Amino acid sequence: MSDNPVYLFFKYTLVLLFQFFVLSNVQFFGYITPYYYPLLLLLMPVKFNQHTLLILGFFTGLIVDMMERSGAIHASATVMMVYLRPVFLRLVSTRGGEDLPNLSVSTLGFRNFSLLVILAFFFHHFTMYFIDALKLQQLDVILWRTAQTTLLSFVVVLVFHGLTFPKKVNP
Amino acid sequence: MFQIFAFFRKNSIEILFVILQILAFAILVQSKSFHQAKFSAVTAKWMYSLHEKREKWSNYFQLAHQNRQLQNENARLRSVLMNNYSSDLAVYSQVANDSLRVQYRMFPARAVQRTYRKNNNYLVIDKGLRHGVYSGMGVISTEGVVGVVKDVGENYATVITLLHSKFRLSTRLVRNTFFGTMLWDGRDFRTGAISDFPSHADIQIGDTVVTDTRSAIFPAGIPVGVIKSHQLNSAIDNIEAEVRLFTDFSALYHVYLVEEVEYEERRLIEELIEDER
Repeated sequence: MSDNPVYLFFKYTLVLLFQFFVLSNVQFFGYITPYYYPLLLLLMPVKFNQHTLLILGFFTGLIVDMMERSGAIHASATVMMVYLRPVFLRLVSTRGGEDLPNLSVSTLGFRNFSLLVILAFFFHHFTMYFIDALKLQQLDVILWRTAQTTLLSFVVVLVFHGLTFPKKVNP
Repeated sequence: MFQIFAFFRKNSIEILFVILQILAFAILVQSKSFHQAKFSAVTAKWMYSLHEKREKWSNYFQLAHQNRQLQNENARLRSVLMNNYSSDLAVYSQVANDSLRVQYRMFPARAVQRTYRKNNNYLVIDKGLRHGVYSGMGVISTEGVVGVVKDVGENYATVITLLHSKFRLSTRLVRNTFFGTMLWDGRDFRTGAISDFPSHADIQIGDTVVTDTRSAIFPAGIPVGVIKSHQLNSAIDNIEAEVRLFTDFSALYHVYLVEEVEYEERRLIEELIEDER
Protein backbone atom coordinates (compact mmCIF):
# COMPACT_ATOMS: atom_id res chain seq x y z
CA MET A 1 0.00 0.00 0.00
CA SER A 2 2.77 2.42 0.91
CA ASP A 3 4.30 2.04 -2.59
CA ASN A 4 1.07 2.97 -4.34
CA PRO A 5 1.77 6.27 -6.19
CA VAL A 6 -1.78 7.57 -5.63
CA TYR A 7 -1.41 6.95 -1.91
CA LEU A 8 2.03 8.59 -1.91
CA PHE A 9 0.74 11.63 -3.77
CA PHE A 10 -2.17 11.94 -1.36
CA LYS A 11 0.16 11.69 1.62
CA TYR A 12 2.53 14.27 0.16
CA THR A 13 -0.25 16.75 -0.48
CA LEU A 14 -1.68 16.24 2.98
CA VAL A 15 1.65 16.69 4.75
CA LEU A 16 2.55 19.81 2.73
CA LEU A 17 -0.84 21.38 3.38
CA PHE A 18 -0.51 20.52 7.07
CA GLN A 19 2.92 22.18 7.05
CA PHE A 20 1.59 25.31 5.37
CA PHE A 21 -1.75 25.80 7.08
CA VAL A 22 -0.87 24.66 10.59
CA LEU A 23 2.82 24.31 11.43
CA SER A 24 4.10 27.35 9.53
CA ASN A 25 1.72 29.48 11.58
CA VAL A 26 3.26 28.31 14.82
CA GLN A 27 5.89 30.63 16.20
CA PHE A 28 7.27 29.73 19.58
CA PHE A 29 9.05 32.61 21.32
CA GLY A 30 8.32 34.60 18.18
CA TYR A 31 10.57 32.79 15.77
CA ILE A 32 10.65 29.00 16.16
CA THR A 33 8.58 27.19 13.55
CA PRO A 34 8.45 23.39 13.60
CA TYR A 35 8.90 21.45 10.35
CA TYR A 36 7.36 18.10 9.63
CA TYR A 37 7.66 17.60 5.87
CA PRO A 38 11.34 16.38 5.92
CA LEU A 39 10.01 13.17 7.47
CA LEU A 40 8.40 12.36 4.09
CA LEU A 41 11.86 11.88 2.59
CA LEU A 42 13.62 10.59 5.68
CA LEU A 43 11.31 7.60 6.02
CA MET A 44 11.26 6.63 2.34
CA PRO A 45 12.07 2.92 1.78
CA VAL A 46 15.78 2.24 2.23
CA LYS A 47 16.14 0.69 -1.23
CA PHE A 48 14.61 3.72 -2.91
CA ASN A 49 16.87 5.04 -5.71
CA GLN A 50 19.12 7.70 -4.21
CA HIS A 51 19.18 9.84 -7.39
CA THR A 52 15.40 9.97 -7.54
CA LEU A 53 15.25 10.73 -3.83
CA LEU A 54 17.68 13.67 -4.19
CA ILE A 55 15.59 15.16 -7.00
CA LEU A 56 12.38 14.47 -5.10
CA GLY A 57 13.89 16.17 -2.04
CA PHE A 58 14.87 19.18 -4.09
CA PHE A 59 11.36 19.69 -5.47
CA THR A 60 9.66 19.00 -2.14
CA GLY A 61 11.84 21.67 -0.56
CA LEU A 62 11.18 24.01 -3.46
CA ILE A 63 7.41 23.66 -3.02
CA VAL A 64 7.77 24.61 0.66
CA ASP A 65 9.99 27.51 -0.40
CA MET A 66 7.39 28.71 -2.86
CA MET A 67 4.74 28.58 -0.17
CA GLU A 68 6.87 30.42 2.36
CA ARG A 69 8.54 32.64 -0.26
CA SER A 70 11.96 31.81 1.12
CA GLY A 71 13.99 31.45 -2.09
CA ALA A 72 15.41 27.94 -2.04
CA ILE A 73 16.58 27.40 1.53
CA HIS A 74 14.27 24.44 2.09
CA ALA A 75 15.31 22.87 -1.22
CA SER A 76 18.96 23.14 -0.25
CA ALA A 77 18.37 21.85 3.29
CA THR A 78 16.28 18.90 2.14
CA VAL A 79 18.83 17.88 -0.51
CA MET A 80 21.51 18.03 2.19
CA MET A 81 19.43 15.81 4.47
CA VAL A 82 18.68 13.26 1.74
CA TYR A 83 22.35 13.18 0.76
CA LEU A 84 23.36 12.40 4.35
CA ARG A 85 20.53 9.93 4.94
CA PRO A 86 22.59 6.76 4.26
CA VAL A 87 25.11 7.93 6.89
CA PHE A 88 22.37 8.42 9.48
CA LEU A 89 20.86 5.05 8.61
CA ARG A 90 24.20 3.30 9.09
CA LEU A 91 24.45 4.95 12.51
CA VAL A 92 21.07 3.74 13.75
CA SER A 93 20.94 0.22 12.30
CA THR A 94 23.47 -2.49 11.65
CA ARG A 95 23.10 -2.86 7.90
CA GLY A 96 22.07 0.66 7.01
CA GLY A 97 18.46 -0.36 7.42
CA GLU A 98 18.51 -2.74 4.46
CA ASP A 99 17.26 -5.64 6.52
CA LEU A 100 14.24 -3.69 7.74
CA PRO A 101 10.89 -3.91 5.89
CA ASN A 102 10.34 -0.19 6.43
CA LEU A 103 11.53 2.67 8.61
CA SER A 104 9.32 3.40 11.60
CA VAL A 105 9.30 3.39 15.38
CA SER A 106 8.24 -0.25 15.47
CA THR A 107 11.09 -1.51 13.26
CA LEU A 108 13.86 0.78 14.50
CA GLY A 109 12.90 0.99 18.14
CA PHE A 110 12.14 4.26 19.90
CA ARG A 111 15.75 5.10 20.76
CA ASN A 112 17.14 4.64 17.26
CA PHE A 113 14.15 6.26 15.62
CA SER A 114 14.56 9.35 17.81
CA LEU A 115 18.28 9.47 17.06
CA LEU A 116 17.60 9.26 13.32
CA VAL A 117 14.98 12.02 13.37
CA ILE A 118 17.01 14.34 15.61
CA LEU A 119 20.21 13.90 13.57
CA ALA A 120 18.51 14.36 10.23
CA PHE A 121 16.41 17.33 11.35
CA PHE A 122 19.38 18.98 13.00
CA PHE A 123 21.33 18.93 9.73
CA HIS A 124 18.25 20.01 7.79
CA HIS A 125 17.54 22.97 10.06
CA PHE A 126 21.18 23.95 10.34
CA THR A 127 21.60 24.07 6.54
CA MET A 128 18.38 26.06 6.29
CA TYR A 129 19.33 28.72 8.85
CA PHE A 130 22.92 28.85 7.67
CA ILE A 131 22.01 29.39 4.00
CA ASP A 132 19.43 31.97 5.02
CA ALA A 133 21.87 34.04 7.06
CA LEU A 134 25.14 33.29 5.19
CA LYS A 135 27.09 35.03 7.90
CA LEU A 136 29.62 33.20 10.04
CA GLN A 137 29.66 35.76 12.81
CA GLN A 138 26.11 34.78 13.71
CA LEU A 139 27.01 31.12 14.13
CA ASP A 140 25.99 31.17 17.81
CA VAL A 141 22.55 32.49 16.93
CA ILE A 142 22.17 29.96 14.09
CA LEU A 143 23.20 27.00 16.27
CA TRP A 144 20.88 28.06 19.07
CA ARG A 145 17.95 28.44 16.70
CA THR A 146 18.75 25.11 15.06
CA ALA A 147 18.78 23.34 18.42
CA GLN A 148 15.47 24.88 19.48
CA THR A 149 13.79 24.19 16.15
CA THR A 150 15.06 20.61 16.05
CA LEU A 151 13.61 19.96 19.48
CA LEU A 152 10.24 21.39 18.50
CA SER A 153 10.16 19.52 15.17
CA PHE A 154 11.01 16.31 17.01
CA VAL A 155 8.07 16.78 19.36
CA VAL A 156 5.79 17.42 16.39
CA VAL A 157 7.11 14.28 14.66
CA LEU A 158 6.44 12.18 17.76
CA VAL A 159 2.90 13.49 18.00
CA PHE A 160 1.93 13.24 14.33
CA HIS A 161 3.95 10.57 12.59
CA GLY A 162 1.61 7.80 13.66
CA LEU A 163 -1.11 9.47 11.61
CA THR A 164 0.72 9.66 8.28
CA PHE A 165 3.01 6.66 8.59
CA PRO A 166 0.93 3.66 9.69
CA LYS A 167 2.75 1.01 11.65
CA LYS A 168 1.77 -1.84 9.31
CA VAL A 169 4.97 -3.73 8.66
CA ASN A 170 4.22 -4.92 5.14
CA PRO A 171 1.59 -4.05 2.54
CA MET B 1 37.81 8.35 -21.88
CA PHE B 2 36.43 5.31 -20.12
CA GLN B 3 38.01 6.51 -16.93
CA ILE B 4 36.00 9.72 -17.12
CA PHE B 5 32.80 7.77 -17.61
CA ALA B 6 33.79 5.49 -14.77
CA PHE B 7 34.41 8.52 -12.58
CA PHE B 8 31.00 10.01 -13.37
CA ARG B 9 29.36 6.66 -12.84
CA LYS B 10 31.05 6.09 -9.52
CA ASN B 11 30.37 9.56 -8.13
CA SER B 12 27.03 10.22 -9.77
CA ILE B 13 25.27 10.80 -6.43
CA GLU B 14 27.87 13.35 -5.32
CA ILE B 15 27.67 15.11 -8.68
CA LEU B 16 23.88 15.25 -8.56
CA PHE B 17 24.09 16.56 -4.98
CA VAL B 18 26.45 19.36 -5.98
CA ILE B 19 24.35 20.27 -9.04
CA LEU B 20 21.17 20.49 -6.95
CA GLN B 21 22.90 22.60 -4.29
CA ILE B 22 24.24 25.00 -6.92
CA LEU B 23 20.78 25.21 -8.45
CA ALA B 24 19.23 25.94 -5.04
CA PHE B 25 21.84 28.59 -4.37
CA ALA B 26 21.22 30.23 -7.73
CA ILE B 27 17.47 30.36 -7.03
CA LEU B 28 18.18 31.81 -3.60
CA VAL B 29 20.48 34.56 -4.88
CA GLN B 30 18.03 35.44 -7.61
CA SER B 31 15.15 35.54 -5.13
CA LYS B 32 17.05 37.81 -2.75
CA SER B 33 17.86 40.43 -5.35
CA PHE B 34 14.85 40.38 -7.59
CA HIS B 35 12.11 37.84 -7.18
CA GLN B 36 11.31 38.57 -3.56
CA ALA B 37 9.56 41.78 -4.49
CA LYS B 38 8.46 41.30 -8.07
CA PHE B 39 5.15 40.00 -9.23
CA SER B 40 6.11 38.67 -12.62
CA ALA B 41 6.52 35.06 -11.55
CA VAL B 42 3.91 32.64 -12.86
CA THR B 43 3.45 31.13 -9.43
CA ALA B 44 2.99 34.45 -7.68
CA LYS B 45 -0.70 34.74 -8.44
CA TRP B 46 -1.91 31.46 -7.00
CA MET B 47 0.64 31.64 -4.22
CA TYR B 48 -0.89 34.90 -3.05
CA SER B 49 -4.37 33.54 -3.17
CA LEU B 50 -3.13 30.60 -1.09
CA HIS B 51 -1.53 32.99 1.38
CA GLU B 52 -4.68 35.05 1.55
CA LYS B 53 -6.66 31.94 2.45
CA ARG B 54 -4.25 31.07 5.22
CA GLU B 55 -4.29 34.64 6.46
CA LYS B 56 -8.09 34.70 6.57
CA TRP B 57 -8.11 31.42 8.42
CA SER B 58 -5.48 32.26 11.02
CA ASN B 59 -6.91 35.74 11.41
CA TYR B 60 -9.86 34.45 13.41
CA PHE B 61 -7.55 33.61 16.26
CA GLN B 62 -6.27 37.16 16.43
CA LEU B 63 -9.59 38.99 16.20
CA ALA B 64 -9.66 39.84 19.90
CA HIS B 65 -6.16 41.27 19.79
CA GLN B 66 -6.88 43.29 16.66
CA ASN B 67 -10.11 44.63 18.06
CA ARG B 68 -8.26 45.83 21.11
CA GLN B 69 -5.65 47.56 18.97
CA LEU B 70 -8.27 49.32 16.85
CA GLN B 71 -10.27 50.27 19.90
CA ASN B 72 -7.19 51.81 21.53
CA GLU B 73 -6.56 53.80 18.42
CA ASN B 74 -10.15 54.98 18.21
CA ALA B 75 -9.93 56.13 21.80
CA ARG B 76 -6.76 58.05 21.06
CA LEU B 77 -8.27 59.68 17.98
CA ARG B 78 -11.45 60.62 19.82
CA SER B 79 -9.42 62.28 22.52
CA VAL B 80 -7.77 64.65 20.05
CA LEU B 81 -11.02 65.72 18.36
CA MET B 82 -11.43 69.47 18.29
CA ASN B 83 -14.48 69.55 20.52
CA ASN B 84 -12.44 68.11 23.37
CA TYR B 85 -10.53 71.37 23.60
CA SER B 86 -11.79 74.69 24.85
CA SER B 87 -9.90 77.83 24.02
CA ASP B 88 -9.16 80.54 26.53
CA LEU B 89 -8.62 83.12 23.86
CA ALA B 90 -11.22 84.12 21.34
CA VAL B 91 -8.65 84.75 18.59
CA TYR B 92 -7.65 81.08 18.38
CA SER B 93 -11.01 80.21 16.97
CA GLN B 94 -10.21 82.62 14.14
CA VAL B 95 -7.80 80.09 12.63
CA ALA B 96 -9.96 78.85 9.81
CA ASN B 97 -9.77 75.22 8.85
CA ASP B 98 -9.34 76.01 5.17
CA SER B 99 -6.08 77.81 5.81
CA LEU B 100 -4.54 74.48 6.74
CA ARG B 101 -2.96 72.46 3.93
CA VAL B 102 -3.45 68.72 3.86
CA GLN B 103 -0.05 67.12 3.61
CA TYR B 104 -0.80 63.47 4.28
CA ARG B 105 -3.75 61.19 3.71
CA MET B 106 -4.02 57.68 5.12
CA PHE B 107 -5.89 54.72 3.82
CA PRO B 108 -6.20 51.24 5.23
CA ALA B 109 -4.67 48.03 3.90
CA ARG B 110 -4.26 44.49 5.12
CA ALA B 111 -1.03 42.55 5.37
CA VAL B 112 -1.52 39.41 3.31
CA GLN B 113 1.89 38.01 4.11
CA ARG B 114 4.70 38.94 6.44
CA THR B 115 8.12 37.80 7.54
CA TYR B 116 9.95 38.99 10.62
CA ARG B 117 12.46 36.29 11.44
CA LYS B 118 14.81 36.74 8.49
CA ASN B 119 17.66 39.12 7.88
CA ASN B 120 15.57 41.13 5.45
CA ASN B 121 11.89 41.20 6.17
CA TYR B 122 9.00 42.09 3.92
CA LEU B 123 5.29 42.57 4.09
CA VAL B 124 2.83 42.04 1.26
CA ILE B 125 -0.27 44.20 1.39
CA ASP B 126 -3.51 43.80 -0.51
CA LYS B 127 -3.44 47.23 -2.20
CA GLY B 128 -1.68 48.04 -5.45
CA LEU B 129 -1.63 50.32 -8.48
CA ARG B 130 -5.41 50.20 -8.78
CA HIS B 131 -5.71 51.75 -5.33
CA GLY B 132 -3.15 54.49 -5.92
CA VAL B 133 -0.20 52.89 -4.18
CA TYR B 134 3.20 54.13 -5.33
CA SER B 135 6.74 53.04 -4.57
CA GLY B 136 8.16 54.98 -1.63
CA MET B 137 4.87 55.36 0.23
CA GLY B 138 5.07 55.11 4.02
CA VAL B 139 3.30 52.34 5.93
CA ILE B 140 2.29 52.61 9.59
CA SER B 141 0.23 50.49 11.93
CA THR B 142 -2.00 51.40 14.83
CA GLU B 143 1.07 51.09 17.04
CA GLY B 144 3.82 52.79 15.05
CA VAL B 145 6.01 52.86 11.95
CA VAL B 146 6.04 49.71 9.81
CA GLY B 147 8.02 50.42 6.63
CA VAL B 148 8.07 51.76 3.08
CA VAL B 149 6.41 50.41 -0.08
CA LYS B 150 8.91 48.89 -2.49
CA ASP B 151 7.36 47.22 -5.53
CA VAL B 152 3.80 47.75 -6.64
CA GLY B 153 1.70 45.26 -8.58
CA GLU B 154 -1.82 45.63 -9.93
CA ASN B 155 -3.50 44.55 -6.70
CA TYR B 156 -0.66 43.94 -4.27
CA ALA B 157 2.46 45.71 -3.13
CA THR B 158 5.52 44.74 -1.14
CA VAL B 159 6.71 46.71 1.86
CA ILE B 160 10.26 46.83 3.20
CA THR B 161 9.78 46.80 6.95
CA LEU B 162 11.89 48.34 9.70
CA LEU B 163 13.33 44.84 10.03
CA HIS B 164 15.42 45.11 6.87
CA SER B 165 19.18 45.56 6.72
CA LYS B 166 18.87 48.44 4.23
CA PHE B 167 16.11 50.34 6.00
CA ARG B 168 17.00 53.73 7.48
CA LEU B 169 14.56 55.89 9.41
CA SER B 170 15.04 59.47 10.58
CA THR B 171 13.91 59.65 14.18
CA ARG B 172 14.10 62.03 17.09
CA LEU B 173 13.39 62.00 20.80
CA VAL B 174 10.10 63.50 21.92
CA ARG B 175 11.54 65.00 25.10
CA ASN B 176 14.35 67.11 23.66
CA THR B 177 14.39 66.67 19.85
CA PHE B 178 17.86 65.17 19.54
CA PHE B 179 17.75 63.19 16.35
CA GLY B 180 19.30 59.96 15.09
CA THR B 181 18.96 57.42 12.29
CA MET B 182 17.40 54.13 13.17
CA LEU B 183 18.40 50.83 11.60
CA TRP B 184 18.11 47.15 12.41
CA ASP B 185 20.95 44.80 13.31
CA GLY B 186 19.11 41.61 12.33
CA ARG B 187 18.92 40.00 15.74
CA ASP B 188 15.67 40.65 17.55
CA PHE B 189 12.45 41.67 15.79
CA ARG B 190 11.39 43.76 18.76
CA THR B 191 14.54 45.86 18.95
CA GLY B 192 15.99 48.53 16.66
CA ALA B 193 19.22 50.47 16.98
CA ILE B 194 20.19 54.14 16.75
CA SER B 195 23.95 54.63 16.64
CA ASP B 196 24.44 58.26 15.69
CA PHE B 197 23.17 60.32 18.60
CA PRO B 198 25.73 63.06 19.36
CA SER B 199 27.78 62.33 22.47
CA HIS B 200 26.32 65.27 24.39
CA ALA B 201 22.73 64.21 23.79
CA ASP B 202 20.63 63.84 26.90
CA ILE B 203 19.12 60.37 26.60
CA GLN B 204 17.31 58.43 29.27
CA ILE B 205 15.92 54.92 29.30
CA GLY B 206 12.23 55.13 28.55
CA ASP B 207 12.44 58.14 26.23
CA THR B 208 9.98 57.90 23.38
CA VAL B 209 11.35 57.91 19.82
CA VAL B 210 9.20 59.28 16.99
CA THR B 211 9.65 60.03 13.28
CA ASP B 212 11.44 63.22 12.38
CA THR B 213 10.58 65.91 9.85
CA ARG B 214 13.79 65.19 7.91
CA SER B 215 11.96 62.31 6.25
CA ALA B 216 8.99 63.40 4.17
CA ILE B 217 7.70 59.85 3.84
CA PHE B 218 6.11 59.86 7.28
CA PRO B 219 4.37 62.71 9.03
CA ALA B 220 6.48 63.94 11.95
CA GLY B 221 5.71 62.43 15.32
CA ILE B 222 4.63 58.91 14.35
CA PRO B 223 5.67 56.68 17.28
CA VAL B 224 8.59 54.32 16.71
CA GLY B 225 9.62 52.94 20.10
CA VAL B 226 11.20 53.67 23.46
CA ILE B 227 14.88 53.74 24.43
CA LYS B 228 15.79 50.41 26.02
CA SER B 229 19.47 51.01 26.71
CA HIS B 230 22.19 53.43 25.65
CA GLN B 231 25.94 53.74 25.92
CA LEU B 232 28.68 56.07 24.76
CA ASN B 233 30.94 54.82 21.98
CA SER B 234 34.02 56.96 22.61
CA ALA B 235 35.77 55.72 19.46
CA ILE B 236 33.41 57.60 17.17
CA ASP B 237 32.09 60.00 19.81
CA ASN B 238 28.49 58.82 19.42
CA ILE B 239 25.86 57.47 21.71
CA GLU B 240 24.48 54.10 20.63
CA ALA B 241 20.99 53.26 21.79
CA GLU B 242 18.72 50.25 21.57
CA VAL B 243 15.06 50.94 20.88
CA ARG B 244 12.18 48.70 21.83
CA LEU B 245 9.86 48.96 18.82
CA PHE B 246 6.18 49.73 19.32
CA THR B 247 5.06 47.76 16.27
CA ASP B 248 4.66 44.07 16.94
CA PHE B 249 5.74 42.62 13.60
CA SER B 250 4.64 39.13 14.59
CA ALA B 251 0.99 40.19 14.86
CA LEU B 252 0.64 42.74 12.12
CA TYR B 253 -2.57 42.72 10.15
CA HIS B 254 -4.20 46.12 9.78
CA VAL B 255 -1.86 48.77 8.42
CA TYR B 256 -2.29 52.28 7.00
CA LEU B 257 -0.70 53.60 3.83
CA VAL B 258 0.53 57.17 4.16
CA GLU B 259 -0.07 59.07 0.96
CA GLU B 260 1.97 62.22 0.64
CA VAL B 261 -0.34 64.56 -1.24
CA GLU B 262 2.41 66.68 -2.78
CA TYR B 263 4.72 63.73 -3.46
CA GLU B 264 5.06 64.45 -7.19
CA GLU B 265 5.87 68.10 -6.60
CA ARG B 266 8.49 67.28 -3.96
CA ARG B 267 10.06 64.67 -6.21
CA LEU B 268 10.32 67.09 -9.14
CA ILE B 269 11.86 69.77 -6.94
CA GLU B 270 14.34 67.31 -5.50
CA GLU B 271 15.31 66.20 -9.00
CA LEU B 272 16.25 69.79 -9.79
CA ILE B 273 18.80 69.69 -6.98
CA GLU B 274 20.18 66.46 -8.34
CA ASP B 275 20.55 68.03 -11.80
CA GLU B 276 22.50 70.95 -10.41
CA ARG B 277 25.16 68.72 -8.85
